[in-house]
Amino acid sequence: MRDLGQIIKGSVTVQRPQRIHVNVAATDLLSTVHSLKLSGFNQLTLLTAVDWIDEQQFEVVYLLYSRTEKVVAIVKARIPRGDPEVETIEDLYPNAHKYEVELTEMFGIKVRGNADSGKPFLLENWQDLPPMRKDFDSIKYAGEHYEARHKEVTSD
Amino acid sequence: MDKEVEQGYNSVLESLRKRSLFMLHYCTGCGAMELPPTMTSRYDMERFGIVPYVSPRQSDILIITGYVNIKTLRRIVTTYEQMLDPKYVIGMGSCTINGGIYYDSHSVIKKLDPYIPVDLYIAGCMPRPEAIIHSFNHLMELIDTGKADGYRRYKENADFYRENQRKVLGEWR
Repeated sequence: MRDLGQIIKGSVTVQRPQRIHVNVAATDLLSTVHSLKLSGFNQLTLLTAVDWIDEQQFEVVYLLYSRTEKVVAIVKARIPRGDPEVETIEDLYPNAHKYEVELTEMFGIKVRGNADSGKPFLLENWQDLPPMRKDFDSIKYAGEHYEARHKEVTSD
Repeated sequence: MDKEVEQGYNSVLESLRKRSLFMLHYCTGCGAMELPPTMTSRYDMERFGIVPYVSPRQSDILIITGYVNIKTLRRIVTTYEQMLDPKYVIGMGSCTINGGIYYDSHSVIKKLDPYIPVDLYIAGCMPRPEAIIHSFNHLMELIDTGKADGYRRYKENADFYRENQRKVLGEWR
């Protein structure tokens, strides 16, 4: 774990002995994940994204776990919000496949190299914005699509 | 058959029917947690003649125990149509009544009655087993008096239900 700073191109901050943050540029994301896998992080715990709408950026987050060292590495990379794309890691971690399908469906982030990216998985007949984006108005969508029960509320 | 004889026959049949209700063992959402104590020795719903059963073909009651999203609704409609008449639907918990805490969700329907006919609602988040037992007793009264006619309403208003199902599920049949 000590030489992690040398093999990774981004910045490594140690939050706790067993939890490290790795911030990398989007261009170095794949090589970072590769070198982390080589240094023993052989479990993908989570793959998700955060919508930073004020900065017009998405932040993709990979949680990698090393069972031998019992350390979680949180890899974060910012990508532009317009036409977002990341590279697939399903050849490294097979369980990333469904995470990436979900990433495309919920955030609209295209995953290059994943054959199922863009196919419907959880949502059906979805015509609107991807629902996990910050500019998607969930209350408005629910009001338009699902019938509500209108009942007068009294506090007697 | 004479009409009076038929009515008498039906009333006898319904008073017999209400004492052997098979409940389909199908759960959605968190209401599933309230059913095990209702079934087992603590509250023991079998003393009212209600038994959980695994197959929709042999069941009489369909309990919707919690929020219903689009994927679940499709299965619920299929399951409901597989059940044989007479069949009764109990909507359990506030999610089936007005959406509950999922009122703003992009994938959860807000009320159940436009999609399948509901005979009885139990309010609460979640209702306690006492409330479920009470609702079973109330359902028996409704069956006895002939008011639990959801399966007849489903056939009479088939266009209405089919249209509402199509609105959220799309062309799916």
